[in-house]
Amino acid sequence: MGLFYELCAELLEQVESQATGPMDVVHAKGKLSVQAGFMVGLVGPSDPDDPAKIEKLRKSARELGYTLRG
Amino acid sequence: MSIRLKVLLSITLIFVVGAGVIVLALNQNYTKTLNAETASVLSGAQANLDALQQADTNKLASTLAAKEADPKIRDLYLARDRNALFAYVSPQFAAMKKDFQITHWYFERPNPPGTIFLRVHKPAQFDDVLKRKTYLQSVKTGGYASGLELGATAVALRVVHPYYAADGTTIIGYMELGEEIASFVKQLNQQTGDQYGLYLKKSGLDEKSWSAITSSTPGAQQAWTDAQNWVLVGSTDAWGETSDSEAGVPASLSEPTSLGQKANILYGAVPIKDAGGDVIGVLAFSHDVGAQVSALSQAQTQVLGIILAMLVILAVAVAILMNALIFNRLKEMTAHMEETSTLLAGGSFDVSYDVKNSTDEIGQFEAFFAQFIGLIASTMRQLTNRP
Repeated sequence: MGLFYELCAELLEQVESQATGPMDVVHAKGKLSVQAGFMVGLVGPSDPDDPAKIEKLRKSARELGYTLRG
Repeated sequence: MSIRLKVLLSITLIFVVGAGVIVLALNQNYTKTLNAETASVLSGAQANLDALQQADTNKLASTLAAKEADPKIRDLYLARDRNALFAYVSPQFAAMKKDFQITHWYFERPNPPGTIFLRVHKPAQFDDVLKRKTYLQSVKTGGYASGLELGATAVALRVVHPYYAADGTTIIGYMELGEEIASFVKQLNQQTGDQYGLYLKKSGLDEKSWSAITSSTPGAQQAWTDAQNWVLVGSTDAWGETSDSEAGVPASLSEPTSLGQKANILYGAVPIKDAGGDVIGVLAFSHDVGAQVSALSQAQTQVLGIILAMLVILAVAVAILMNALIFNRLKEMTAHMEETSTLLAGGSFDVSYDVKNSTDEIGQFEAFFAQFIGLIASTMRQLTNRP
């Protein structure tokens, strides 16, 4: 498991914990994916740690009010 | 810059250019109307002068016929008794002068020798040889001859006719009546309300005679040296207020001519030709076009106001229509697309894009986008269901 997958999983946990309902989860995940340029929910353990994608993910999370470790 | 702003700026630009073109067209129409008014005034002035001349010619001819029919006048003329003839006709001439402005009455011998037997208006002068065109024309044709003739100090309208014996066939001489046309200006003024100045060509007048008249007559029209080419021999009361002497009257004039416009006053001149067709004077006039100018300006302002109001209404209507038909729908469609894309990206692969029942350009684009979203969602479902 790489950093990229771990960050995505951490972010999805935060989304689900902060959401008020199932549609809210879909909306939040959608916004993150559109902002990051890839579908966050489809990132798997075998996906490589692409520094550019990691940076985009961090930036999108920051802009949408989520906090990632590291 | 948004499309909405670009479109509004384009519409505004088009309307500004349109308004400019309209103003230009209105100005051209204004100038055209004033030119037409000038042409109408010029032709009207010539027509009025011609009509007045014709009416006075008829007056002189009919008076002449009445005098020729008087047997006592004929007998005194045939007796060649100048003093008795003058004594008899003098009171008649005074009445004619007072009532009909007839200023000249001649008894002329047959040609040859073609000399004057009696000038009723100037009895001391006689026996001089006649060279006037009207007299020679009457001799030539044996009938009436009329026209304007330039004298030493004035121009007169003259009518000459053969003077027949009682048998009605033998010519015993010629009788001639005339009137100075300086009075024309007042008659024309009464008809038209315009101001007139009657100028005669200096080259056709006698300087000594003219100077004698102007120096001995209080309030005489104009001194010989006051003008370059013309001398003013008659004018309406307000002519001096509207025109500076002969200013603007060209040295030669063969047809009705515009002399320009100052404020709301049009100036023009028509030539006065003698019986031989030579220009001997000029009738200059001023015509107030203030009422026409005011009416034109008012009409122009109204038309411009209406057109500008219509342009503003049209611009507002176009803006409202574009908002309703294009921009509001684009805004609505963008929000709808964003929502759909977000749902799709968030993992809701059973999402679909609802299309309004519209077949216009935006409707067609929405239909295509709905198909595309459906394809993406279907593809994503297949990918995520794959083991």
